[in-house]
Amino acid sequence: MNRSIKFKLKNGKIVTIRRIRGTDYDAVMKFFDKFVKGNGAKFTTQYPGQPKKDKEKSMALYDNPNNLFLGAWDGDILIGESTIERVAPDNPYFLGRTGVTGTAILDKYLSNGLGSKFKKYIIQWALENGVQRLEAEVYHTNVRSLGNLMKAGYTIVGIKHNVACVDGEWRHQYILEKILEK
Amino acid sequence: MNRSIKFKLKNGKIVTIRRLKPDDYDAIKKYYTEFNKGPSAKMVFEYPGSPIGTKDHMVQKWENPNNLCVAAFDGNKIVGCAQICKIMPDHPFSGRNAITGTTLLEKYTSMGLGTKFKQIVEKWAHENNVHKLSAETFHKNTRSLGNLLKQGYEIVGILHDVAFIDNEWYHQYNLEKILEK
Repeated sequence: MNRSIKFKLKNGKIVTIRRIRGTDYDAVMKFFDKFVKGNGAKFTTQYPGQPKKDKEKSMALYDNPNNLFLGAWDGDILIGESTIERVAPDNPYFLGRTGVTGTAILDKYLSNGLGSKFKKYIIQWALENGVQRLEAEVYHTNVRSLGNLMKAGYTIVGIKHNVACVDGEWRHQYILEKILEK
Repeated sequence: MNRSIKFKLKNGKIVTIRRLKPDDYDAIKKYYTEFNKGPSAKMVFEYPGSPIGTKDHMVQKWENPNNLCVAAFDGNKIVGCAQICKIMPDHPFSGRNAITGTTLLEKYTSMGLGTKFKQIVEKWAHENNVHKLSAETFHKNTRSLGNLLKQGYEIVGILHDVAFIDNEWYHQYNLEKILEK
């Protein structure tokens, strides 16, 4: 996906979806600062006060052609991101056939169709780039994300127990996959 | 594990097991070069010519107090390695999970060394507040799978078609063992 597109949310607001580039590093960090203050900290591995990701490594990650980092922008503000990273593209057995996917959206932009739109673009990119298998992990408490992944055709293939202890309660993590083609 | 120990293999040979040190870098390079040419390599996602980490990278990993990286030495030669690494040691909610892995040269398999490594790793895990051990193995790696199950790991997931080797799709088992709450 090389061009930006306009997308109308269910609430009528128009956002721009485009690739996140290395130069967007500061906007991404601001996004995660906001994300962890909301539900992000409850439902993902992000947490308040987490150290900022290394700038150089992050920029290289965003610009790496083996990955797609998509962002949704409300004006200049990043309000959601969806990613796919190819696993071991240089390993002759893996050849980057698996893509690990993830999505994060600010609370006030949830339930507006953005997650589904992101998934369509991620799957389209995967098909165009030789990815045959998508993988995702989600906390068992994150029912919204789990529902969206299953709606998009992912199936649960495993559960990792006790991956996090939040407020005295253990969180488990579902492993999901979607086979695209062979 | 701060001291080296002697361990008698089932064939009577004695090997030394100890933590890896910076001076072991050349020995570990030789080990991986040999291991990656053997039949077991493909069972752990390795292949002839697999890149080997730089000395800085490896030493940083060996000396990190959140990891334990040990090797078995037959004389000066490394014949097997095992490691346990805390996955996100600084994470406030998930800092107590660790991933484990073991590799052995072909002629040192089925000698009790894999089981010994697993005992050392688990002891370190108990002493270092690890709550859960995780491991991954291809479905074809029946020796490793059997050893993990024998040690009390349970299969908690199967990822399909993760690798394509010799015209066959390989699946990956995810295993875990909960130590304590």
